[in-house]
Amino acid sequence: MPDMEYELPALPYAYDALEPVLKQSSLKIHHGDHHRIYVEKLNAAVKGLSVATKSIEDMLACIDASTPKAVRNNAGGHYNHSLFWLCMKPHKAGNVNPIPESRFLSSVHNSFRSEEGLKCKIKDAALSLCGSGWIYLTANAKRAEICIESIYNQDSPIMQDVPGDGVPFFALDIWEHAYYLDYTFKRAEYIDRWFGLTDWGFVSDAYENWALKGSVVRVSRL
Amino acid sequence: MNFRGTMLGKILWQGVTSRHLTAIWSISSRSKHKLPDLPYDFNALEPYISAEIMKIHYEKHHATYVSNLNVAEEKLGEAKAKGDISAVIALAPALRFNGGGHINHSIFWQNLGPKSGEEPTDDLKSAIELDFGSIENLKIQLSTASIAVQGSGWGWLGYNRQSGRLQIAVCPNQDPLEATTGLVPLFGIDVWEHAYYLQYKNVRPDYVKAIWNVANWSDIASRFAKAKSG
Repeated sequence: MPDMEYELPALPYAYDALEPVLKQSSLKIHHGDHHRIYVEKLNAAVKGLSVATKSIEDMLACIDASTPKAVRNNAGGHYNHSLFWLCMKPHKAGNVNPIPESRFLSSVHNSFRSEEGLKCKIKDAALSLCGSGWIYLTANAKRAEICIESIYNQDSPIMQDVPGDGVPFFALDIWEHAYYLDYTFKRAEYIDRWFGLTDWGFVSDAYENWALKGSVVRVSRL
Repeated sequence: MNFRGTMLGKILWQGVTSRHLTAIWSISSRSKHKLPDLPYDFNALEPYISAEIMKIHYEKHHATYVSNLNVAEEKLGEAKAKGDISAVIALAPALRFNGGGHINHSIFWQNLGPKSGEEPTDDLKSAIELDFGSIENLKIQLSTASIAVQGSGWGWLGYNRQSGRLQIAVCPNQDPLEATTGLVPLFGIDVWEHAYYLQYKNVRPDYVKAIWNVANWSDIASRFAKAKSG
């Protein structure tokens, strides 16, 4: 099989579409520099390795403690950011952004009593993460119950040696680069305002049609 | 002295005044950690580290570590008083993170100073040349290690008491060097994104290269001398 050439995915919206929550200039750096560099370094790191023929989704599932750090960090960075962009949509004035009626919403009510309950727990997790990392929502074919996972650096529960057995269907970037230009040290304010961008339609769909089927959410076109 | 002459007596008799409140507060806060004074103005490290970064880094990030450390230690005191071992253990991450953050940043502000053009001399210079070949090699190795930190953390030049040698180490997040590795911290490079992002964006290597211009070699030398003398 030929080697893959991993590509920076285009954003599903313009750079200014997430304003005023995230500035155009910040998104350009986050997507155009941080994510682009993960992709470039991934392509360099996998040259000649057997994983190089895999999709990014399959590659993540193969990663374990023996995987070279350059592959792990850049594959994680590429996948996580790809999922993150899909979890957002253009901001609407007023910041009202409810979760649509769905199996996901029922599951939220079961586990967290309400949407606000879910957001509170996500925010708690984000504020307790003492470094760089991600907050994921996960579920799997044997567990419809939604779990909130705090994972450091560019790791993902999909990786074999990362605790947690769920498929992430929601990813919130808590690395400082995700919010520092817009909010500096105010991580709490970033999260509060970020919920105005969350594409709950995508998240609900990813929960029902990927996570509950035990499949890694597809983020690439390839 | 009769009761009315005592502090408590005066408070109860005259009503609490701000002077008494200050006295009570200073007694209870004597054991609390405080933000150390910054040895220079926020703009003193420009153009290598901007005043904007220094102000937020010191007044917000470091200050938060200090206040959260105080909260964690207060809870520790309560847990110990109750003999609640489980609660004591549960506080370990908060103590490590905030205690480490306070230790690391307190060293950092001293490690840095307005650009002086100084380079290491005497004992420190000899030790660097012995363990790294040259000052330039030390800079290259510590820079490379700091840039390579995945996520948040620190690059350190440390002193190994067992071997009497200088060593480079990296620690994740706010893990303090000495408690984690046994090395005595001499010079640390903060590579959390908050240390450079507003000025250098994603280009961590440019920040790490720039920081050498504001390394305070007198401070590093004095830490080395103290570490060597035991």
